[in-house]
Amino acid sequence: MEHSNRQQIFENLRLELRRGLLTLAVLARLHEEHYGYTLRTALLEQGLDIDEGTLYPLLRRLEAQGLLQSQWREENRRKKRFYRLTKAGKSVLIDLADELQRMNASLDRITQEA
Amino acid sequence: MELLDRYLHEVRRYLPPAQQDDVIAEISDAIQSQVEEREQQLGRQLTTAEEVAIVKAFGHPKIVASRYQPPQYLIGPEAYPFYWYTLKIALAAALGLELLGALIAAVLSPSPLSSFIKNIAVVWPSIFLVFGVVTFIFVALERIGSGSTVLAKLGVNKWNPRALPRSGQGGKPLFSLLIEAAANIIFMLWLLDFSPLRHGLTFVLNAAGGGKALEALALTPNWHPLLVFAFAAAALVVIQDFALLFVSAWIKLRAGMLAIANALVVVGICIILPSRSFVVVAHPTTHAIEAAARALNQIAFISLIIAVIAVAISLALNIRTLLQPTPQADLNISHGAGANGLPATTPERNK
Repeated sequence: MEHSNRQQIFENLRLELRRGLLTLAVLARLHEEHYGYTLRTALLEQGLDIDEGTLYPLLRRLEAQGLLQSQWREENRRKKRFYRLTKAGKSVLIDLADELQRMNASLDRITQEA
Repeated sequence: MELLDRYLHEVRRYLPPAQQDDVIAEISDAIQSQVEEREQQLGRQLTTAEEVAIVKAFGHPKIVASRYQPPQYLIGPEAYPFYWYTLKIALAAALGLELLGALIAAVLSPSPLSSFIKNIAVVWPSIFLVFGVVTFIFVALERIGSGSTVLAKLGVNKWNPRALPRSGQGGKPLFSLLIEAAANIIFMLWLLDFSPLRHGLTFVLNAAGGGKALEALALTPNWHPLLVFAFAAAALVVIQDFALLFVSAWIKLRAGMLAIANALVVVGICIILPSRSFVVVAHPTTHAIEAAARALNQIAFISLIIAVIAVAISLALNIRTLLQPTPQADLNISHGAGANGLPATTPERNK
């Protein structure tokens, strides 16, 4: 297989892998209040890069599902939208984190067997 | 920032009205935050080029707006295979009918070649029409009547494993068996001069533009032996189909019946082929009609030769089936699974 072809395939698979995990990361970070920009920076500091085109729609979807709540607030003469977890969001976050741990354990066992 | 305003205005256009204010405010804040951060890093105001770069990196207005909507398809991925399959069949049927009509009209017209070309060249409206109708139906299925998936509406969930093709050679799905039996029955009825069929056929041929000429032409009596044999062959096929409906065994018997049917047709064609006269002018009319009659004779002759070859091939395959040793039992699903999930035996399959 050509290198660029392999690279493309890897990129696609990587994207799929990240999709679920990034949602978990966003939920986890929103234990504290953030608005889009600070959330993105906070994730970046921990080594997770997510671009705004993905982040903002994700936040809206999670809010529409009732996992986040938002508030418009004026800061530095600009209106910013602050997000935080709802109660439902907190419980879903706990479940997701458990699920991730379970899957990691299974994955460890599977890769050890191989 | 004028550039930002123009950008936001454009994105707003593509957003649903309810979301516009919210989303625009958010994007505005996002971009302005980016600008501020850059300005802090550089310690100065940004140039226009740098502002342009930031806006461009954010994304095409239409794409940015579309991210705020759920994934949208015309035909969903679940329904797509069915859509594609239906479309292929519908197009094949439409094109087949067009071809048939063009052929008939060509043969019955004073200048066959130009008529044929003319009729084929205007086949495009049919193609677009079929494409449009099938697509429209599937799109409608997708959107109307929310609460059930498209597949549910298509009745896919009700599929019955029992209606699958029978195992063993010559298995056919129930549907195609019935179609084959029905087609042969219709053919037999036509041979028996069942008048509604005659009227129907005349109607179709008239529609293809060959009405007047049709009245003047007639089939010669030479056809009779073939028609008799064809009738018998069709009867055998029907019997075989119904047998297959109930019993998947009797492979040899069924192959034998099909072989006889094919042999009858071959013999029938060979009997009438030498006569070379298949169509006559019933009462002499114009030159054109007579020319058409001659053309039809030649076409009939060539078609019969092609047909006899095709049927002979089919006959050869039937005989081959007859001569093969009986196949072993198929993979026995019920008692095959061993501890590792593989079937206990792998039977030989005669190919």
